[in-house]
Amino acid sequence: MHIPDGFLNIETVVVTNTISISTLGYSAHKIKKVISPERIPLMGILTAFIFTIQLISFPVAGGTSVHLIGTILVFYLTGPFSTIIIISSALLFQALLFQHGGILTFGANIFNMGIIPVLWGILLRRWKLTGAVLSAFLGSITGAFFCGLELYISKTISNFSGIYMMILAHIPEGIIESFFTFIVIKLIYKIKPEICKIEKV
Amino acid sequence: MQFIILLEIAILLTSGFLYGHGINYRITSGKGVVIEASYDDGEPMAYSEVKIYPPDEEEIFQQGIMDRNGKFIFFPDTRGEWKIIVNDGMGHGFIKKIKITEKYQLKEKAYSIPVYQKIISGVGIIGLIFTIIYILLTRKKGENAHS
Repeated sequence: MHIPDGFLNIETVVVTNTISISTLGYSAHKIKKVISPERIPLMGILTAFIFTIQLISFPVAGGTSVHLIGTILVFYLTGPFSTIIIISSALLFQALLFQHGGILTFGANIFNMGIIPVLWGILLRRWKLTGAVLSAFLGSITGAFFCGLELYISKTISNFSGIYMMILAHIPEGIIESFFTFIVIKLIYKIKPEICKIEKV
Repeated sequence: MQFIILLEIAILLTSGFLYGHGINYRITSGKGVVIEASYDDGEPMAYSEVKIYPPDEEEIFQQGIMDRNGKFIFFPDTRGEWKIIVNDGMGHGFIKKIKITEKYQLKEKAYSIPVYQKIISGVGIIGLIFTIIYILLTRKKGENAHS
């Protein structure tokens, strides 16, 4: 789901970067007030974790590959604003170090893999673990839809069926993401619940 | 803190065992320039779209799809920096610029970095940066407490 540079037209680049950089700035402003140095190691580890799981893909039917996103897991460990910072940091490192994703498409990648799942997280978090499972699945599918839509608008994929293909390819990924999120959050809630300090919106 | 250290060890251990499936490519030249692209498990990027742009030109020199083995060949007719775009139509692909010499040969072969190298170096760099941030913030907090 990492869109490389050159795959989006200028209009899509401008719109997605405007939305994502504004959200990133707002998130940085919000966590600046509440962040304590003790949270930095956790944020660093979660950034490294997201960096890693997004580089490891697995094949799905149709000859393509998908990877876990991890946004909802981070959301339930930190909260919406820290999640945006962590996901953006991981995407930035991937783009700068290995051209995995792009610099101009940085905003689109934050939007698809950060903002969209976080919005589902905010919407569904009142249902705790059930909300985590649902938002992990829906975040993946909706993120894939927007990724496909951006590529379609930019004429990188020539017909609308490409978007359906992207959504279909991400259904197994969404199921694995939900299962993985459920297991990890349940485990952390059981052994170290105090680590989960979710920020209020 | 112990929990965080355990989590970090778990991430590092898991990253070594998990199966990679990103994109690998190799660009070499014989009589023509050969592009080979595959996912990390060796599965070829079969039938992916390829666009070739000549130096300093907006117009496409050659456009086509890779064969079922994820291979594509083209014959450059001028020296300079050529641009290759490979796109599987699902948001995966790469853009690579290559240099062609006067004899229409590739100046140097191009390879992608294996995924495990990316993970090891990336995790190391992220760890270093966040450690520096942590040290700076705790020192600042300590200075504020003293004053």
